[in-house]
Amino acid sequence: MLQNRTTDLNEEIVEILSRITRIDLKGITYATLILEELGIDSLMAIEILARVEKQFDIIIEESILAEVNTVGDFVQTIEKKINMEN
Amino acid sequence: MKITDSVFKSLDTWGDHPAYIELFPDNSTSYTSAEKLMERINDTREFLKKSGIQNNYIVAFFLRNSVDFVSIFLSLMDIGAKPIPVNLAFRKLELDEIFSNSQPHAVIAEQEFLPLLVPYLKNKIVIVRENGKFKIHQSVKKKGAPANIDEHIASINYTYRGYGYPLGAMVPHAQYIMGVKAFENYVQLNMTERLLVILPMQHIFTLIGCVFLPLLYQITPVISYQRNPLRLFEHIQKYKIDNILAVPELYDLFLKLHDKTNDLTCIKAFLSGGSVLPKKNYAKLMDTFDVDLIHGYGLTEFTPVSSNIRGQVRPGTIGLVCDGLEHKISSPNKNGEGEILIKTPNMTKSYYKKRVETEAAFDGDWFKTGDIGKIEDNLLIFIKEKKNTGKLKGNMVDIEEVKKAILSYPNIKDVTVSLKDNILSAGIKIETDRNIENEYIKIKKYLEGLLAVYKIPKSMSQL
Repeated sequence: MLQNRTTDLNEEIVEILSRITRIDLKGITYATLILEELGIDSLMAIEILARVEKQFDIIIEESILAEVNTVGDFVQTIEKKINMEN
Repeated sequence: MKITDSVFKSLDTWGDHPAYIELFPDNSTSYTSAEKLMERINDTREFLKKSGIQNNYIVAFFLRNSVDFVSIFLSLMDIGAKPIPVNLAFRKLELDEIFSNSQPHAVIAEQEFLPLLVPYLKNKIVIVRENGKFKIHQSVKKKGAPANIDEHIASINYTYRGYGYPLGAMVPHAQYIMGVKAFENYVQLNMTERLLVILPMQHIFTLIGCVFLPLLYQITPVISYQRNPLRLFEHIQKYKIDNILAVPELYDLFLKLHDKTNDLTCIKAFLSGGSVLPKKNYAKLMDTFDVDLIHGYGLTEFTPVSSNIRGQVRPGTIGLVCDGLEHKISSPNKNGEGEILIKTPNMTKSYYKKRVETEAAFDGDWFKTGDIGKIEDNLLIFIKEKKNTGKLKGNMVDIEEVKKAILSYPNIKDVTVSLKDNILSAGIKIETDRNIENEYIKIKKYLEGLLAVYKIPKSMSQL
């Protein structure tokens, strides 16, 4: 169940990242660098956070994207957040 | 006359409504009355003087949006010092130029910026802000000689004109005074209304619209430390915000994220500037939020150059040119398009210690904006930038500066940089045996230490 949840979470977050950065899903992996490869600027960052908040009904601090390097780091951080709020 | 004289007069006759409301990320709120703000300014002024800051001292400051930012800025002006409000995103290349050009006597910074500023702090008075309090971090044994700057200059605000380095616009008090009056004539905010402050206070648009206009017209700025539209919607409802000042791209985000659960009926106006607002977005924004959308155009050297007037908005235009500001289109083509020139005694007349660049910016008394526009039915229409700069979601990018930064990376032989549709791209010719995609990542990481992060090209390809 946890594995499936993690897989769903991963897919949903990557889909949000793909939609906002306009980078193909195939081009985004756990190792993809948030700034250097996805080119996420500050406005894109807050859109991503807002969409993730809406999708998973959680609150995320804006500083989070400055604290993560990769997509994998970001997914793990969101997962921790969801587990805490549950 | 100093702008601070007008501000203090206004604070003296303020009503019961707050002079400032600050909304912190931990959900706490701080209300500052006009009386408390004046006390704070007085205390700050005395503290700065005791630390050694005096008339005609140049003071670079790195502070986040806050009542402290306002207090420091006004106190420095009142002492007769020349504040430089520095963009917090700036890194080595930008800071090297600002510090070598301005040679500030003092630096005031958030504690967290100190490591970044260490290379520039020798022989300077250094004041840090930590946990909301200012303290002297470093004194000087021997006081430096004050700069030789005329008393009518209020501040030095750095901007770009495509040279590859920032220029310190010498902003006179008269520019702030005229600019604020003109802005109020366009936007017509009412006393005691609340204005949401999101954009960085270092920018001239925010200084005019969110710092000086509220202080002179007794409007309460509500400073949000968060920019997530979902938080802003909550703030708007909870604190009954009447007006917002933002760039078009942020309003675009509002459109994308707004839904029926947000009650934003209290908002009366969106004040917009800093980048292009496409005609098609006007109607969408006004209809969705049922607000007046007042979009205009300005420069560090004078803001607002033009704006739509509340209640008389013409989508697709940047409105009527400011009353008292002469203007013309230089060498118009067959479509009437040409460089916008402006003239008023109450604007920036020079860049600090940059005689050549100053001379190049003027044609007699006419200031060359570096922007191409035209006039239709008396309204100004922005076409594009002529100078080698561009706006990227409200942030100014100097193409030459980005090129220079990239060329400083080892083995890069040539580079082209372009800005189109809000995407900054670079074509690079590099001698390397390594995987080129990995090399691009290395280049971007290298640039993170050199430039504001928004100036790092999103896409890189081989030339």
